[in-house]
Amino acid sequence: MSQEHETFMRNHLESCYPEEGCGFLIGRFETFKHVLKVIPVKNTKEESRERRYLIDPKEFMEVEKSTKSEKLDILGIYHSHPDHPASPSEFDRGHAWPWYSYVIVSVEKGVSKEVTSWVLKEDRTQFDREEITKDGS
Amino acid sequence: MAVKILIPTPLRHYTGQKDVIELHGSTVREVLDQLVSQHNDLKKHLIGEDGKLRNFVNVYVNEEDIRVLSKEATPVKDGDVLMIVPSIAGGILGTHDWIRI
Repeated sequence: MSQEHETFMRNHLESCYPEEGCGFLIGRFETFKHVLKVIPVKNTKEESRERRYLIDPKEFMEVEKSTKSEKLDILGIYHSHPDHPASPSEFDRGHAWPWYSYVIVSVEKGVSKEVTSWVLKEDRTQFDREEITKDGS
Repeated sequence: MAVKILIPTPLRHYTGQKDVIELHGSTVREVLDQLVSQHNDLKKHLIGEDGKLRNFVNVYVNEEDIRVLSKEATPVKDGDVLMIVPSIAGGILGTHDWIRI
């Protein structure tokens, strides 16, 4: 992920505070996932948006179609944990899909802090933490 | 002729990277059962322990959500297109329920 993409994602999630923000990470998978685009989307959860997020499936379909037409893939999803650590919750695990990277950003008092990335284990019991590397490093 | 199922990226690992699979069946459930019987590792991601479709799995028949049709009993016919669309959700529960990693 480039510094530019990370900054864009942080700014978006800070703008959503104190609610959770979310979006898609788009790019190519070769030997690793290379993020080429960050697409913010609306948190469509009707209530408790400060501790829940939901992406409209229709929005998912549109993003999937447009990424496919560009020969790219949805590599993962990012979301914020306002005033909470950047660790996946049981709720995150219960709703997670395999293969996708789940990037979590802790936003404390409106300021983004730690960024972590997670992939669901094959047996769905836990997440494995992934390393995030900056383009060019 | 058959029913086409469009497989989203996170599930293609279980279908030999195929993004479209053609199967036969007269209802959504029959087609999905056939899909998971052919690709057994998909089952835990699509079907819950109660035997029902997991609630974060959306299925569309010709771009119509089966929840507004007849759910898993929605009839399908040759030429129909089924889409498996991930419902993306998550968030904080409380400070005490972080999972062990």
